[in-house]
Amino acid sequence: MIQINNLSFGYSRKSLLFRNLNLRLREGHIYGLLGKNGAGKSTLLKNMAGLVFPLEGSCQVNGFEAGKRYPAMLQDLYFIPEEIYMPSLTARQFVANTAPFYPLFDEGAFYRYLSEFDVPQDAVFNKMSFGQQKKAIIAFGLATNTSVLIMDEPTNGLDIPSKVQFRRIIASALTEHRCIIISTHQVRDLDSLIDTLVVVHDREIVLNESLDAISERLTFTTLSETEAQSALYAEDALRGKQAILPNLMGNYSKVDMELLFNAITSGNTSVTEILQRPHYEQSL
Amino acid sequence: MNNHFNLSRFALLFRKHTVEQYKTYLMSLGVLLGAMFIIMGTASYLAATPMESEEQSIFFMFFMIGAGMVFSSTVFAQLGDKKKAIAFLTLPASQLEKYLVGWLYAFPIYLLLFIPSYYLILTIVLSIDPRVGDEPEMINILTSEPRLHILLIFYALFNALMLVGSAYFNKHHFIKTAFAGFVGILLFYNLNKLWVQAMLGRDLVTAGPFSAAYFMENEKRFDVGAYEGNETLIVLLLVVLALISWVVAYFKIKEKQV
Repeated sequence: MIQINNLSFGYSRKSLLFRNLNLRLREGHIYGLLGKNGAGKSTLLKNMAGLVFPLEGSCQVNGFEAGKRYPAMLQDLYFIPEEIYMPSLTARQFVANTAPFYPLFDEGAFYRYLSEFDVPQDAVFNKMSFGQQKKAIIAFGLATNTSVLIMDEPTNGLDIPSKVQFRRIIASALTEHRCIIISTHQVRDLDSLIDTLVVVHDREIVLNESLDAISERLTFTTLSETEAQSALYAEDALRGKQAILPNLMGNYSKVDMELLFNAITSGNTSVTEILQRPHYEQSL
Repeated sequence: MNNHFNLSRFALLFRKHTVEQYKTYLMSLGVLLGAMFIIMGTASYLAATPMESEEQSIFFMFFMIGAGMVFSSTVFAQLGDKKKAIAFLTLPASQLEKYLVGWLYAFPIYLLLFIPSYYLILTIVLSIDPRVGDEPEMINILTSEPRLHILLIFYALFNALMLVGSAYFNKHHFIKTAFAGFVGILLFYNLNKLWVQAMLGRDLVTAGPFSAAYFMENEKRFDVGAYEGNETLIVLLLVVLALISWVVAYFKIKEKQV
C-alpha cells in the first residue's frame, strides 16, 4: 500500500526533516499519525501524496513512485490537506466535474455523508463556513473509495457534534482494501477511531504499532503518588497520577494515546524500548 | 492506463477547468473589451483624423501581446497558492494534460477570442466617429504589417515566458516575470556587446544581438554587420526560444513541490 524506504527529506539538504525513514502502511487499517508541531507530520503526508519529493530513498503508493504523480496512483489516493481549496460550485456541480476522475466514486454515499454531516447539497462550497467546507471535502474523499485516504488535521474547524459524526463515518467507511491515515495534534479526536498509532519525533518514526499490540505490552492506569514511582511514565491527574506500566500480567487496558504520546515525546525511552522489544522477550 | 496522455481524461480536465474558471475568464474578457474601447476611443477622439490602418495595427499588436501576457501570467498562478496547488497537483490527470489545458486557454483560445473582440471594438469606435464614412478603413490582419505570422511568433514567445513565470513564481507573476525578462534582455544585450567588442578589438556605440555593430571614428558613424538572411534566423530563433520556454513551463509544473 504505502512503502517508504530510507527516505530522507528536507526543504534544504543542510537541515533534513527526516533521515533514512522507513515505514510501511497496509490496507485495512486506520492509522493515527501523531507528532508535535513542526515534527513533520504534514510533510510526511505530502511525501505520500507526491506533493514533495524525497531527497533520498523512495516513497511508493500502490507500487507507484509518489513523486511521479501518475494518474494511476492519484485516482486511487485522496489527500485532504489541513487548509482546503473549494471552488465556487455546489456539491452537485463539484461531483459532475471532479468525481469522474475517481473510477470508484460512489455518488449515493457522497450525498449520504453530506446529509450525516448536515451539509446542504445546494449551497456553493466557497460560501460555506470553514467547518462545513471541511465536512464536504471529507464526504467527497470518503466517497471516492480510493484505497488510500490521507487526512491532515481533518478535525480542525469541526464542532463537537461534527467530530463525533466524523469518527462514526470514518469507522464505517473502512474496508479491508482501504488504508486511512489521519494526522492530528488533537489526540482525543482519534479516540476509538484508529487502530494503529504512528508517532513522528526527532526526525524519526519512533512508533508504528497497533493499539492491540501496545495494550499487550503496556498498561494504562491511574495510581496514587507513591505507586506511580515505579511507573514507566506518569502525569498528574485529578485523582493521583495517570501512569504507564509494563503489562506483565497480560491484562487489557485501553491505550491512553495522549499519555503515550507525551511519554514518547518527553524523551522517556523506557516506553519505546518496551514497545520496540521483540515479542519473544515479552514472555520472559 | 496511459499515465502521460489520455484523450477522455484530457476532455474531463478541460471541462472541469472551464466550469471552474469561466466566470473569471468572462470577466477578464469584459475588462479587455472595456479597456480597448476606452483607450482606442480616446485616441480616436483626440486624433485630428479618423483612425488609420497603421494606428489600428499598432493597437492590435499592443493589445494582443499586452493582454495576452497578462492573461498567460495567470494561467498557472494557482500553483503559487498552496491550497489551490494541492487540489491541482493531486487531481488524477497527468501533468502534461494539466499543462495542455492551461496552454490551450492561453494560446489558441485566447487568440480566437481576442481577434473578434478587437474587431468588435474597432467597428464600434469607427462607427461612432462622425468623420468616418460608410466604408471605413479597417485593417486586415492577414495582410497588414507586421505580418500575422511574425506577430504570432512574438506572442508565442511572450506567452511561453509568461507561462514559465506563472509556474515558477508564487506571487506577482506578471511583474516578476516582466522584471526577469527585462533583466535578461539587458544582460543579453550587454554580453553580446562585450563579445562583439572583444571580437572587433574596439569600443562600440551599440551592438544589438543579430544586428549591426556601430562605432564612431573621426566623428563619422560606421556600421558593421551581415544583414542578409538575418530576419529568417531571428524568426527561427524566436520560434526555438518559444518552444524551449513552453517545455520549461511544462517541467516547472511537473517538478512543482508544495
